[in-house]
Amino acid sequence: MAEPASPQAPVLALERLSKSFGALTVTRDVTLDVRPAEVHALIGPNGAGKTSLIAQIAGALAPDAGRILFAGADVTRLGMARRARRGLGRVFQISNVVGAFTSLENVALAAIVAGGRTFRCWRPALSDRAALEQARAMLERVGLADRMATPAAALSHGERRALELAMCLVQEPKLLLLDEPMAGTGRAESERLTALLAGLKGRIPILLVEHDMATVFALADRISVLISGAIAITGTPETVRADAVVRQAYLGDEEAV
Amino acid sequence: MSARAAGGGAGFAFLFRPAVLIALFALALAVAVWSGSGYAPTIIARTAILALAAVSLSFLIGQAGLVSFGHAAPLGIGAYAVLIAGEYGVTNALVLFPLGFAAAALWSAATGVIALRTRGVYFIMITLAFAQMLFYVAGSLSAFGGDDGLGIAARATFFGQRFLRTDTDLAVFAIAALGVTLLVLERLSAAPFGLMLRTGRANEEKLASLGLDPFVHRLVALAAAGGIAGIAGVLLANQVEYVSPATMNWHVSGELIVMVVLGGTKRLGGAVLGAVAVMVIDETLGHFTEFWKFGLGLVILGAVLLRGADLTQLIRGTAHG
Amino acid sequence: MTAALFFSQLLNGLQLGVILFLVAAGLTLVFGVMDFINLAHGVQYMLGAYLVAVLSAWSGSFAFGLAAGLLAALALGFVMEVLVFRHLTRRDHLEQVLATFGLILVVTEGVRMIFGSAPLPFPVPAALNGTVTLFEGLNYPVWRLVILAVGVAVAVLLWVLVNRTRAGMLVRAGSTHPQTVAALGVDVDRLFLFVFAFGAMLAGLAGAMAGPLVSVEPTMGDKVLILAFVVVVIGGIGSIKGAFVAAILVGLVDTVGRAFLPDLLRTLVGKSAAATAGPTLSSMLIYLLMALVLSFRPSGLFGGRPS
Repeated sequence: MAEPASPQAPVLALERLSKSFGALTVTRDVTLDVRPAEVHALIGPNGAGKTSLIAQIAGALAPDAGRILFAGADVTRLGMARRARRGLGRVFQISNVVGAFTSLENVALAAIVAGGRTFRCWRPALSDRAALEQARAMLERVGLADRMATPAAALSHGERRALELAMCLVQEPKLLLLDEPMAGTGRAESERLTALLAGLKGRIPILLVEHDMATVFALADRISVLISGAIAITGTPETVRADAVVRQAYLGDEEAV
Repeated sequence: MSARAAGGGAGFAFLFRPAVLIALFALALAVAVWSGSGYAPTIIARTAILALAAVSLSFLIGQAGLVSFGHAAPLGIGAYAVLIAGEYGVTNALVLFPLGFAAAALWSAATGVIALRTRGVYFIMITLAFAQMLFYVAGSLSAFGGDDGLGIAARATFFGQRFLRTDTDLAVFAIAALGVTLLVLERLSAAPFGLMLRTGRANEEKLASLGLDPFVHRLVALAAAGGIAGIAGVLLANQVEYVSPATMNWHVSGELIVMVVLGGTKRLGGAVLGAVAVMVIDETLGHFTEFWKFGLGLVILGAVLLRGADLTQLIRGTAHG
Repeated sequence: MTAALFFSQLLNGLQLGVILFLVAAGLTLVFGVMDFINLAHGVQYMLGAYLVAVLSAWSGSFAFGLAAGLLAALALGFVMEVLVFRHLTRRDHLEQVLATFGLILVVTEGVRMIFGSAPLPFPVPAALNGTVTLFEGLNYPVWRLVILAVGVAVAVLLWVLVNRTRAGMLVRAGSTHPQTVAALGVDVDRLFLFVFAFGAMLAGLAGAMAGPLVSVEPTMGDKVLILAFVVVVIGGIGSIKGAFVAAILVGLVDTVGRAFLPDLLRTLVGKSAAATAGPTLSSMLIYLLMALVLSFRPSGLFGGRPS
């Protein structure tokens, strides 16, 4: 299964990234990488700057300084759509699907975009056999086989997360950027999602931003802790769990969060 | 993707189908000709022409979510293409229609490049401002009548053959153009191209995260819709046989939006019904009072404030008591 | 071209600028605070002119007519907000466009029913009629100087209101960061009511000031509305400072362009070409200015919020 950390080049590398809004520094000299086949978790207390960091990686926010390397190229100046085309798959913190479309339509849409067939003007989109086949297979894989004809807006929260994951996966991304996939899900749903992600582990590198410690320690190969916009420590789950600073700053007041 | 959109209510959805709409237009024209009315074919031709412009705007608003408040501009460009080409002795329809389409599409694309850099309220104001610029430019063209406009040299010909002798001839062509446009735009809407426009409208961030910046799709939609409005302008100039800046007045843009929204934006056929509704209000209220726009304004205000800015909902509302 | 001519055109441009500022100020705040597109703002301008003209003629006193007319414009602003606008604030832009367009038709035709299409007489107040000699060779109408003075006074007043009072701070914050203000527990709907009515009064003031110079007729608001849109777009939505800078810019470019561009073209491209291109190009100038600004700054010169 998963190769141990190899000398291979990382899929994603952040080099000394910084970002401020006026006097408020949200990202402070962040250096971080995601290696092939690795699940790298990013944790940190509320307000540590996780959301801003994700936005910079996805291309929604431009950093003030530093570089972002993805799949061997500098993507710091590229917009969101162009990074996505290079294989950066993103699952949003707040479920982001097209509510009026059915599950099948949502995933077929993603497949059509990935296939570069967006300018077809005559044949109906729903007659795109290849896209529909891909979409059906992917929906089965994420456990939504019986929800294909349901409008996305009518899905449960956990189902929508799974749908979003399917939309990402059908595009065969080089990296998955998961922004708090467990947020707002019930225990049963979060266990199902964790199992789903465990199935991906080793096949696709994942940068996982997550509050739910059970998920993080179950999945992560390495963990980075973000405190006040800066990386406090990066290491294996055991190292991080044992770190005094982290315990005090974050794990210690977990109940309070 | 919802090509079979969840539009019209049960029992009335058939009204939105292109084939039904065109058949109704043809029937109305046949009755008008049979009854020997001189005025009715003119009204039918005008309605079909305005419906053509409204349908192209509905494609922009309903599919792409681009609320253009400047759709009178490409309409006027089509009309001026007829006037200006006519002044140079060109009346061949095979030149006029492509010319009207191309000029209007070019204008829409050129202003679109700037307008599409913005969203929402900005987009509405900028399209309005550019259309108004064209309105003043047309008014300054003293060679073509300035503010007063000018009569066209002759109705369009086909290699010297006059084929638009009466408004009935014109109505036939306008209805045909409307039918073809409805079919083409419905295909376009159901195709991946339309799907991208709708997704961009519903959730632009998601579309970007899937790897598509819909800028070019939107630009193409603007150009296509502008071109179709240009065709409507060519027809309009031939019908009225007169072209003036008034065609580009922002009130015309506003009335086109009224048609689109009254008919509902979910299906393109809605704009046709909206155009018919506005023409009916015009022709009925207009007979009683010169202030008929007061009534139109009240209808619009009422429709929006009572949450019924959708003819389909109004129909359903009455149908179900 | 004489210095006197140039200077008088410059003053005319500034005067158009302050009129546009009075109209655009309310418009930009309404856009900013509520993300609301109000096409009917030109109607408030027209109503202001009619109200002041009618009340002045009725009372025989311009001062009374102006004061009563402005109060009436303010009251109409409140009434319109309660009857129409507050029901539209949470709707999408398309519905706002439609409803305010319907309102324009109703009010414009309503005024036409009462007063007819012919321009209403609106003389310059006797005490302010006439010209002053600004310098040798330049006699300038007093009324136009009064407009300039009023415009500058209102600009200063607005600046103080927006920057030095609590209500003003809220409006300023609300026009750029509406969510933040709502989160602070401010009643944004009430804020909108007052901003809207105040904006209506300012537009009415602009109409009253411009009334004696233009023809007072039901559609007089149309042209000003679209110019005000250009001003708001250039200045940036929600920014009073932007509205002021852009209004002066648009006023100057439009007036000075129309006055001197044909002459300039004549020297550059010859007489016959200039005769056709001159008027065309000068009527395009402000829109080209808008396109230029937008190419570099899509959210306007002072627009804080990404569009």
